[in-house]
Amino acid sequence: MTKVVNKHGLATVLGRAMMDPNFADALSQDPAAAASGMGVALSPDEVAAVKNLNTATLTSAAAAIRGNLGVHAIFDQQQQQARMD
Amino acid sequence: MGEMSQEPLEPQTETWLQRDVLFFAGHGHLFDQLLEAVSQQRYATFLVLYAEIVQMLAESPDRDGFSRDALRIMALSAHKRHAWVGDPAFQIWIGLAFKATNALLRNLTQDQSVLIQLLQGFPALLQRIEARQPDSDTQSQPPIQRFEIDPLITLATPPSYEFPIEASKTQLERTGYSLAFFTDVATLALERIAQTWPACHARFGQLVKLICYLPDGGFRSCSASRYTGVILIAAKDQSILDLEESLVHEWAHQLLYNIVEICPIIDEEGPEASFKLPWSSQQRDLYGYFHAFFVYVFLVKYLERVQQRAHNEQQRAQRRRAFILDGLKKALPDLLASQGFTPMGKTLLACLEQELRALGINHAAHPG
Repeated sequence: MTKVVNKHGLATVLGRAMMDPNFADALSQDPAAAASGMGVALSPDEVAAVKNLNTATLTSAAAAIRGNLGVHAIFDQQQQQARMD
Repeated sequence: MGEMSQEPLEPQTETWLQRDVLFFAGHGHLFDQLLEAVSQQRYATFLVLYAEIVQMLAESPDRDGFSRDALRIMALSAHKRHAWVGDPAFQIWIGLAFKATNALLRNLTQDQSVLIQLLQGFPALLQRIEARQPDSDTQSQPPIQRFEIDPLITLATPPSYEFPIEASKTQLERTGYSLAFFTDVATLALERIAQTWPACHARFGQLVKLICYLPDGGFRSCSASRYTGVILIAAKDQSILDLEESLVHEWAHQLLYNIVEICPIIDEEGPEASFKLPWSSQQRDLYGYFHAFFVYVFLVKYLERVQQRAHNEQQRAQRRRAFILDGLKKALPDLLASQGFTPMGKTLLACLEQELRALGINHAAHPG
């Protein structure tokens, strides 16, 4: 496969990892090889960015960003622990 | 940022959900694992945000700059990367960008202006974080500030506290003690914490990144998960011992915010309930009630360590410890009866119950 040097290639690769846990594992173990399989050449910095990534946390965050943020979602302006005693 | 409604991480999180880990009776490496898990979660959230934004905003001129700056963060060593991503202002930015991206991805809005504005502010945020990076990794005392607060933090603190506009600062500077004086007192209080509970002090700077001295605050102290890492202290403490208590109190809230980031404790589908705090009679939902309970267990642990002080201070510590413990005993049955906890919330409550039982026995044997 022809490798494409894409300045947004890391986002493309991460986008797939967010949807495909097996690919996420492969990316975490060998980022260059996994990205290469998609035709993307990662820079050394990009490789370092995802090397040994905890894929469970990635999957969890990927589900959250497209899901219902819930009652106690982030940036709940009313939630606080104000101590008066 | 806390409470992103993410799936709990199992079973790794169970390893540090132990009484001995939470209360520093050994297993320091497991406490480190807890903090590492939080860092990994925050970084993964940033990566997801980066990927979604870059793919979604293909037509935006702001995309390239954000992509370049984000890669700068990703290219740092893991240690430095975690420090940057863990900066309170960075976490607030992530929280806001996460919410804006979520709304766009779920078609709750078509308006990208909120997200674009956040992207445009990203380079300035990085500059501010770079300017305040500590010289060494061993900084145990966080900075103490009053007015020179990161604008993202001032955006996040209301309704806890509204930072004043420029015109009001001069007048407010005349209220309360000066920042320099408060810093001296807070430094002394932290030194006392170091002597009283070294393990807690060693972890203080890992969780508290900024102390805001706000003498006009309407609270004694305050924090919230939307600005995790920042604690607000007013001028209502009556003694240095009180300030020690406030610092430990807010530190413990930070610990629970961190835990909740990777391990939701309250079932959002659970029954709604309102409780009256035994210590202040304030009303709280289950989340707030548990937060107070969690913190007060730590405070009893702290106050029982207050030894070799002046007689009157020793007496005040004992009275305060007895008052807090009495409230904990009242609160425990309410929490044990609640159906609103997740399985890991129940595990955490069981840890606190064990600790409380032990404390109760200690207090029966050595009444204050």
